[in-house]
Amino acid sequence: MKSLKVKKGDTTPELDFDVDKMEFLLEGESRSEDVLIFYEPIINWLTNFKEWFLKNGSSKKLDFHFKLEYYNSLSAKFIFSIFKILKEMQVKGLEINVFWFYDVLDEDLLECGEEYEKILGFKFEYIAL
Amino acid sequence: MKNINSQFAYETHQLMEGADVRLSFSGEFSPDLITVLLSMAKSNIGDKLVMKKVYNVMIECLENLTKHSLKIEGDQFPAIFLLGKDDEYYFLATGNKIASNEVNELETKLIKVNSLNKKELMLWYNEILTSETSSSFKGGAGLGIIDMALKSGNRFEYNFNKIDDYHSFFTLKVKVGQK
Repeated sequence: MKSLKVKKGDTTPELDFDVDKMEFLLEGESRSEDVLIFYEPIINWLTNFKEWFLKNGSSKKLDFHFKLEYYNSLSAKFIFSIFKILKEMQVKGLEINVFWFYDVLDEDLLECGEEYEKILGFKFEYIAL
Repeated sequence: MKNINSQFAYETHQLMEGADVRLSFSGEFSPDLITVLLSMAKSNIGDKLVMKKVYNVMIECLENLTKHSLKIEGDQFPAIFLLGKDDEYYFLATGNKIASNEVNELETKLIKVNSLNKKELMLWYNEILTSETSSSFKGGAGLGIIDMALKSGNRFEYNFNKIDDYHSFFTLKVKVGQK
């Protein structure tokens, strides 16, 4: 399984899903109006990754670094989908650590993380910057 | 024949200054323009906490303008955006042309958003967030307007101005301020 890397765009975040290290990163801003074009390949990749992992994966642990400073409401659903797939993998026994980074002044972003946690039954670790 | 005299600039300036308008644009909103407006807003607001909130609401506002403004061929002024300051609040004001038959639906949604408290808004937001899969998802499904209400923490002010039987001009004012 090949890792997935996407460079930062004007309105899209940097993405680095490193399969060898089992370190995933999403960083920057997600405010594209063509969210489907950006996120659909990512969701597809993740779905394949899940299938692959369940058959062949040997790692026990995955770290996900969520470093989005801002995401628009159009992106919110896709971010939800990403966490949903991760949750499915967690249920199958993979240890997943989600590190949710936020500006110490940005309580809204902290609350967004807490909402995802609540809805999905996930446990995030919060890192104030 | 139209003849705008040189006082027009003065009068417009007075109007803007009087309302403490920090940033404004009237016309067509492109993605490049939005990027510029956002970075100007960022540098205009000193308070980082308020800036973050304004930035959040502003993105949703501008997206609404590009998505929902009625496109009439040859129309140079489909929408307007203003960022200004009241006594206590920063405010974002938008105006755009819409088809008159869309007024009812939009107004119903605004009345609902204005009637809900933070907890209720969050419940509604989560309901939409979890309701369908991302692949069948095309528009914002109304998340944007709830998000704006949550970030603003204030009631929306809005109006529908009838242009003619088929067109209306929709104005929205969203207040953002420190609690």
